[in-house]
Amino acid sequence: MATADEQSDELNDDSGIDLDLKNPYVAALLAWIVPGMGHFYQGRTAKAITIFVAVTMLFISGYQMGGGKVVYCSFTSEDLRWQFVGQFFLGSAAVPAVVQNRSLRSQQQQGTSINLLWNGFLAPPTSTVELNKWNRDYHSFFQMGTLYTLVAGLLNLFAIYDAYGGPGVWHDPVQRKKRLAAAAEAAAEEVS
Amino acid sequence: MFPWNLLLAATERGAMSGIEQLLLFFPLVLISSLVYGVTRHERWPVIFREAARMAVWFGFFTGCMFIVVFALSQFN
Repeated sequence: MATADEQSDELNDDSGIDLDLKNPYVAALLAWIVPGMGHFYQGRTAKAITIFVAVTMLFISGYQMGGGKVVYCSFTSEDLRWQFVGQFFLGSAAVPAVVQNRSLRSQQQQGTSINLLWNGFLAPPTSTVELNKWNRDYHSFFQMGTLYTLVAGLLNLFAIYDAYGGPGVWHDPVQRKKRLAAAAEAAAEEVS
Repeated sequence: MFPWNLLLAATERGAMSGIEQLLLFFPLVLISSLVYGVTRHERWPVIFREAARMAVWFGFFTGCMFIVVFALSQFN
């Protein structure tokens, strides 16, 4: 029976928690593709659901606010979309955006008529005129949608790291020392 | 009451007012704090405590930035 002090410690400190991260590389890849999927693979279901709902809701809200135009990949001198670096950490959105970018740029280089894939889903603007039109049509919603999707991507980066290496508290040097000491104590007890 | 239509409509309405832009800041802070807490801890009581602490910290930090930028904008 745990004393009140022990229960209080348990509530305040989760560094000693035992976790099976399975294959961390697979977990990180799954977490990149779909938010929370890596945690689901590791059996951390409640965390998986929380991450999936929170990150996806934020991403879809931002995407909707910007009329579906705010997530695209473009690194030309006219349109350096640096926000895509953050959005990239949501793999299921990043991959189609990169494919669209490569498809559009190759068509522009060949000088053929532009034919966007998937009805222009996650496609970059075909010209600065189109980009200006998006900004004019969606005004502050375009910036806010960009911010929401960028933050969603960056939050998923935290989630990817958590799926790969366990919760952040494990990496705190003091907490890590306590965790290793507790593990060593448990092992010694088992031997005796 | 949070104006949910802010998240749904864009083309059919005018630019957001300053207050509306500030309202959109709250879901962002709440979700960021919660996900940060979730990725830092494993037990729910600790996660919620961390999320609340982070939400206050984010709010304070961005509030300070807002005050500085707002004050600077008065000189334009």
